[in-house]
Amino acid sequence: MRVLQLLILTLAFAACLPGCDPPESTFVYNTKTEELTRDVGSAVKERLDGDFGSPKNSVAWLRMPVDYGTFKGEVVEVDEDASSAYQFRVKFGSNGDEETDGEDEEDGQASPTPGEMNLAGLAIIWKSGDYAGGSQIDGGKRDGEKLATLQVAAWSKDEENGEEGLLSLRQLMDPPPAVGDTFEIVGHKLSFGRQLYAAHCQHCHGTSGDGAGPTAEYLNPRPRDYRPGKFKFQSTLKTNRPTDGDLQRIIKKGIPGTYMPSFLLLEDDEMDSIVQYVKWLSMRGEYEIKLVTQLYFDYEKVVFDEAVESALEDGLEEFEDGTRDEKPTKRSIQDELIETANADLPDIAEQESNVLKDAWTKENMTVVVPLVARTPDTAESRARGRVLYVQNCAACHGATGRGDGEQVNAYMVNDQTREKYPEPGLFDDWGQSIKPRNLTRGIYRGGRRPIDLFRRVFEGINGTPMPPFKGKFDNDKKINDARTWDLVNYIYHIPFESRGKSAGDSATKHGRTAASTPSTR
Amino acid sequence: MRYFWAAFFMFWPIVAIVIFTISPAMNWWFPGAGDPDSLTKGQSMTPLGVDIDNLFYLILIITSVVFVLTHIALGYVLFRGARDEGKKALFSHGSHALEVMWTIVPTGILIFISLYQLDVWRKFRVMSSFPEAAVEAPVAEVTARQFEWRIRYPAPGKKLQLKPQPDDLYTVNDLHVPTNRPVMIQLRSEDVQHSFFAPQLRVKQDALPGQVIPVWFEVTQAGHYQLTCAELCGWGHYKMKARIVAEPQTQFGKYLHDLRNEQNDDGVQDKKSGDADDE
Ligand SMILES: [Cu+2]
Repeated sequence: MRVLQLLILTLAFAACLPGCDPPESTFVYNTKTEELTRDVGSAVKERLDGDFGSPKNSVAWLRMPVDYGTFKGEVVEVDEDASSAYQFRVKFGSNGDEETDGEDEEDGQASPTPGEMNLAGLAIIWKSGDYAGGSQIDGGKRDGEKLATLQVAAWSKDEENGEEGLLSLRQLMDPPPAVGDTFEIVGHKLSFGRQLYAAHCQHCHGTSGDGAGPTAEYLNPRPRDYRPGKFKFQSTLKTNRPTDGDLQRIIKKGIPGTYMPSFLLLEDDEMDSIVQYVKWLSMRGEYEIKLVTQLYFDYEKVVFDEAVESALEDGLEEFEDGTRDEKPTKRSIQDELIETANADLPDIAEQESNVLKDAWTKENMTVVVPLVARTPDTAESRARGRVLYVQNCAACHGATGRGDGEQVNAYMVNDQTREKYPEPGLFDDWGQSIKPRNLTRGIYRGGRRPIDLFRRVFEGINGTPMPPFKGKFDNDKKINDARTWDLVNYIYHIPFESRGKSAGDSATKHGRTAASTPSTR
Repeated sequence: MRYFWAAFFMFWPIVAIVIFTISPAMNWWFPGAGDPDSLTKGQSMTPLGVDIDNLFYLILIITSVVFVLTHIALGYVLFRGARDEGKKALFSHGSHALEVMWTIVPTGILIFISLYQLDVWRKFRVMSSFPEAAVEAPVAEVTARQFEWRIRYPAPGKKLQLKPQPDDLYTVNDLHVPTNRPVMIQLRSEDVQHSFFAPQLRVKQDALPGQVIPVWFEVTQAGHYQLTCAELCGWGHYKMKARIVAEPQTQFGKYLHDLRNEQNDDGVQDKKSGDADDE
């Protein structure tokens, strides 16, 4: 008996050993992708994986406006006798390709060198020589700009000269590159960003950036789901994407009043890489949503099955009329329809990726800058602001700013389904219940600078019921901005106004202001 | 095997002495002790911290000497017993004088330690003993929350109030203090229990929700120091990594001035103090 028990224990232990490996990290697909009919769904997934890869093997899709990180280099020595080569000596940070890097020289900055960095798995793009512009070694991807990040095998720096060293590739180059050929190694920020994201962000925001990491369910408000490409606190127009600076600011300062903490002590290169990775993750998510949206109308499982049925009926009629040669079967009709989808997909992908590219291109973003400087914070300005507040804000934020306006008890209509939510109150675009900010607490999630409050009022908050108020206060743009400053001045004052009343604050300045504005209780 | 137990008890004092000796070089000592490039090199960067270190060394020396001596004595007795085989052991009902001695001597040592440390304790914890200059004008209010340190400074030239003021200045995870003068912070917690821990300054104080706890220290060397949370406060405890920046008074004044400019940024005036995202 004893032996048997021991044996069972040993076997149980052995069985748990393979289970002790960390699970493979994968991107999850959108629920709507899973709702597509199977063949179309897998075509979408295939395209998505081809363009963005997986967490472990991410693809630096050069079309997307992401700074993946580039090291420029030049081949300095190749084994002369060999007819092919895995490895050769290179020099980084050189002037590189004289024809193409003119723009970089304008910055007057030396090209960065990888130093001790691990370059394994990064892509190499040839800029001059026989391999330039070609796809001979980029894994035969669909087009020249697409790159699997699986190229460099290792990089070992020379001890005495940090710029030179031995570079080995995973693929064989036949024939070997020539001395003087220039290249770029792309993607170190993406892979560094992924590591940092895994360490700092993933447990809340999820591997796919879907805001569904393991700690997410304990948080209120929930961590952001990046996939719709909507970010709440940005300096740009509501319809724009945030700038790199906006994302950095949130990561550095955190979001007071939420579980998003400050990551102020990240080094500059860490911060840069995380921002690039988050952008890339958001682009991947939105790309998927955009592809699926184009196909969902025709290829959602139930709709598709119905379409097949009716097409089959039509086809059988046509066959009997003699206008169709072959007798159609369910299978053949399915194949026909799916073939159409597959034929359309490259065009859809092309189009949607361009939309995405344009959206994230910095030149297409407009940063909100007030036309007039902040109005001095006087009692008169605040009184004007108070009037605007009662007219425009009190419905949600409440007459006293406690976030208890009557809208909190009303039933909101879901924008997507056009149906009323089952519960009263406000909801954001992610379907989460959301409360109007309690302005008496003096906690400003998107930042407490005047410009932050101005932008929140002017452009609203993306993804939430907080609407933009630009142009609502006056037809003249400058006067409108001045009115907005009045409102901002009043909002800053709200925490002190309620306190002054309840605590009997003797500060005469506050007392006078409260008297000159309509009663708040 | 005869001498096993004698060797066993002789082994530990040797291990202890070896560990004491190599600790600083192995970086098992005070922060920065094993690193010649570090700012602190294992030294406390506050005068009170030096006193605390001295207390630590005193107790370490007393306990090490006692530990080593008792083990050597024990080992010697066991060695004698093993060597002198066949020799009859001495039977005794105990010695009254010896028992009194080994009660009185440790008691005396403990009373000495407890009285000797009172002065450091008073300076560190008793508010009436805090340096007056520090108490009069606390530099900042530090509020711990899950999972960061939120900091509130009074506007330059003003005093920190218990309640937030319209012109207060705010930062997060970045506490600046002037060097070479005692400074006091008001420590609070917004949610659960945290602990304000600056190892290089030898400052550690729990933050309790609902309480405002004054903490003072004087940094003698300008530089960046670690600030961490030393109380397991939730799943994100490890994220509460912040810094204390000690800088000369003039630089500290300039810091607050710049902070005020940044916080008053309206996106129009004073463009250069604005952030990079506005370009
Ligand atoms: Cu904590």
